Amino acid sequence: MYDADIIIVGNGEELLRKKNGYKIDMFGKVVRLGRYVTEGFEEYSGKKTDIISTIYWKLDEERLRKHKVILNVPLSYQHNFLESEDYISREYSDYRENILYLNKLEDKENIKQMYLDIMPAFDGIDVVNFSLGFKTFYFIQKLFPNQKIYATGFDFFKTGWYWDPTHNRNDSNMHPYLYERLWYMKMKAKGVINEL
Amino acid sequence: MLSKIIQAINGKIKFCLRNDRTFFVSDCSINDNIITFTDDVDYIEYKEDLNNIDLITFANKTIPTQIDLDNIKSFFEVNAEDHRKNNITFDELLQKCNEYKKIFNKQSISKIKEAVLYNNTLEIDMLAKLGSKDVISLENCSSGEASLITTLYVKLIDEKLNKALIELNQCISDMDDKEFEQEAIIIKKDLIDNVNDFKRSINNIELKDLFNNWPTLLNPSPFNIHV
Repeated sequence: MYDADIIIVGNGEELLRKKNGYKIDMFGKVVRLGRYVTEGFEEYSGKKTDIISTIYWKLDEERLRKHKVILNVPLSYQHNFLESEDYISREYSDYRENILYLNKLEDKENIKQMYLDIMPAFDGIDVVNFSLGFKTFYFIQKLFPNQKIYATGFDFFKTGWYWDPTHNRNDSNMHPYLYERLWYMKMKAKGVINEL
Repeated sequence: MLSKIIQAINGKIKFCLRNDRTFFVSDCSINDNIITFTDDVDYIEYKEDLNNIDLITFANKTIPTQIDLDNIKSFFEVNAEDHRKNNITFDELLQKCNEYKKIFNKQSISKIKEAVLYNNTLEIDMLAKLGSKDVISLENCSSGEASLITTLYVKLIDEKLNKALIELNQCISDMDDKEFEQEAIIIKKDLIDNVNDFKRSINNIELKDLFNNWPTLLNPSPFNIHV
């Protein structure tokens, strides 16, 4: 039923509201984020993983060996890591073919534009750091422009991680969750993102 | 020796002095090992004992040795580039102090000079964003000062919350979509609940960690610590 489609599985506790694990596993491509956990949550999260979108320091070799990866190097570090063939060659040379995409400096502007395409600017938009989940929508649209995108488990940090509810509770950071959530709602309303 | 050095460099190489306080020195004279000068930041005239003071400069080859003192003209000629860099750095630090002076009250000038001299301005930058008129050490403050900081923090949170709610309302109005409006109302409630929970728990946060904490849904925080 979903074998031609992509689903991005967020890490919010929202995921635990529906026992959609079996449906998630039916998707052609299942994208998970960061240090996602499926063990013990299979009823809700499913087991299948095709692509991991992650900040580079949350990636372990075992996962890289088994899955395709979208690797995010924070833009503030990119002067050190370049864009960043050198970095990949050094750190992940054995698994180079599994790195599906490495974020580029130009993505920063494009990610902001993805927001502005359907939302008005907000104060500080030029200095915020959009969250990994939000960026992943951009990467997936860029890599698979013709595939239907589904999402589940996204609550934009209304809660913590579904396996660790204490994560990111009231940490001061530069992620504009409120605006990302509005964007997500609007994308749903437009039918661009389909929520499972 | 310090007396000789200062007399030699005075007017050519800009410098600070440091004992239990910090001074950006100008117009100095020395008599019986007592230095009299005006501080460039607070414009107060000070008299300090050179026996208990450190000389601080900002580039190499700015403190002449005895051999340099014997041929001071050559010292200035040979090391002119270093001295130029030194004076630029001094002026930059002075400018920073003057910028902070506009934000904070007179009682804070001493702490500002200290923070700027040692490039330790993170905390006073936070306090400036908070709207504090006092430079307060978060690790070493009175209960009254702690209370003031917490009050200002809550005030800032409320300001940011109100702004976010106005933006949300504008967004709802622009969208003109009932389903979107219903979800946006939930977002507003989540945001308000998060802020209220945070405010209720704020007294449990150690003051030195305060700027690391911010209501999740109200991010991005004005205190850009974890990018």
